Amino acid sequence: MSTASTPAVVVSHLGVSLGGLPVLRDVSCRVETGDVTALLGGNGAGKSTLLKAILGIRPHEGGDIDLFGRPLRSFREWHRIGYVPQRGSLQLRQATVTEVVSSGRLARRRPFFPPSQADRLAVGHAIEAVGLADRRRDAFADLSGGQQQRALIARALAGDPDLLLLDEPFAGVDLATQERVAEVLRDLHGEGRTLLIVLHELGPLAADIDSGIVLRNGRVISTGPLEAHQHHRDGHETVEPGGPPPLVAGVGEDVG
Amino acid sequence: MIDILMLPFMQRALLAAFAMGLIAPAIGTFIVQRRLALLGDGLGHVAIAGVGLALATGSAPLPLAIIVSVVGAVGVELLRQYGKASGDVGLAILFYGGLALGVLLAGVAGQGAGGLSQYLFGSLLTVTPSDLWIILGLGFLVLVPAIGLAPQIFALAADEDHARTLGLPVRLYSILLVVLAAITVALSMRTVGLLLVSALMVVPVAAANNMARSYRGAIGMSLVLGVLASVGGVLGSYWLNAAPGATIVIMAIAFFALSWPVGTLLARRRAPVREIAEPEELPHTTTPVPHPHVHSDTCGHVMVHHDDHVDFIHDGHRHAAHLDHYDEH
Repeated sequence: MSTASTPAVVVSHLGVSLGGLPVLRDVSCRVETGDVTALLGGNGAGKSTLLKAILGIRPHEGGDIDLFGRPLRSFREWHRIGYVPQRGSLQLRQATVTEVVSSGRLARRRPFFPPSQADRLAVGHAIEAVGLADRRRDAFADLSGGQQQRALIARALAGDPDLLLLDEPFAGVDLATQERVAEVLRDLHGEGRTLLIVLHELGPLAADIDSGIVLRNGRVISTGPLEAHQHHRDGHETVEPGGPPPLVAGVGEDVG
Repeated sequence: MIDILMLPFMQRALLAAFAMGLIAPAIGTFIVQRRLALLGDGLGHVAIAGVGLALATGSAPLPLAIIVSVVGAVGVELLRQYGKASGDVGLAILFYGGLALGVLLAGVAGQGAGGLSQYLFGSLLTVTPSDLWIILGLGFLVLVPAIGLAPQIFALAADEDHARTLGLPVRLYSILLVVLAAITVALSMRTVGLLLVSALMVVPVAAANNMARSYRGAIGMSLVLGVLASVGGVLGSYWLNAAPGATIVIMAIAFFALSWPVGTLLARRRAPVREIAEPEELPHTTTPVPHPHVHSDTCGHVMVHHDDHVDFIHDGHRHAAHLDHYDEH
């Protein structure tokens, strides 16, 4: 799936500390444009922290982050980025689905100007894309977990981004709903968007993932096409000759 | 009623109250969302230092109070952003330092703490024409960004991390917000008063949040409630000869009390109709033989409570009546 175009994300030798403790150490990885890339690892491996560092939410101490070929520091095309945080990050109770999704359009809107026709249409399309058209006037807080997750995806879609970064979109939703969310993500990939997804386990997207980045204790332990990870996940005991045995053996523990 | 409206000082007081009733909840909405309710209260204390300064220097209190509270607000926000204000303690020192300084300066000016009370709880007689112009002018300046930037501040309040990924200038908006709050607080000193202004910023918003489902609806409702409480409170203050701050806040709290039952009613009317499916019958076995005996609690068979019914032990098996037959359990 990888193309010759500029990678959507390039991270090189990244270091991040929280409260003096190193959370990410010398992390280097990349997300190719058009790919579905999974960011894998166990609890505390640093997956969410890496995602937030890429988005500039968490400050980093060392290394570089490039988005679409531009250093994060001077990156201004935020409308190309769609961030879907973990559910439960929303602080407000008084907000309808439409209002929450509309806020995702702000990267393309000027302050003090009312939303244009195009803005309204984009918000409507985003809500339809995730199948919430019948709930758009309801309070976000009244939605079920899976519906809230889809509403947050719609919020990221409202800006019509090229790159979507999702933090554990399947966390805390039942299997049927996971499949529903996976369907939405497959459609987005089909439209040519690049996806970077933090996953605790591969789940319903396993077949769609082009590439994986596996973190363990704040370090990258493997990157590349997922077949290798998948293989070792299914059978810990078999280690391919020439492969890096100690590293890959850890993948099974962390992911499974 | 009409004769009250003919009094020039009442006209000014009512106009000032109307303006405050709009801007206090407009800013209050964001203050509540950002969980800064205490900040509004504290800025009122800081503004008292400005009033004290004005009394000591013999200048007009309103402009000085605005300047001092804006400076205090920016200071607090910068300390917060750079993580230097460890929450409560730093704020408490600044806020109560402001109050103490105000009382001290008022004492130096020969007015004592009593001279301050008209600024703490409002005073109908003291709204001068120039005060009114400042209130209307600055009130308008506060209202424009409060409404024009409402979507941006919504995004910021709802999810600050996400707001950053929209490219919004989060720090700038945060500072703007506290500056607007500081101006609002200082403007309130003639109507609701510096000690009670936080209530006019917070209580109508809380009442509206009990009733509204959407962000836009909550803002609209809080403005209406704010104006009703503020104007109603000023009229009540005239009749009761009490400080307007007291009557305004008591009216606002009455609205809040009413918002509970009203909100519950509205929620019930809005609730989507959900069909509740009949629960499926659990798999069960029926007695193969006719059972002429009808069990009851007086028939002498041992009774066993089982979930929602009673089983009877009979001829070595345990069963319960179900429709026209007995189920084995």
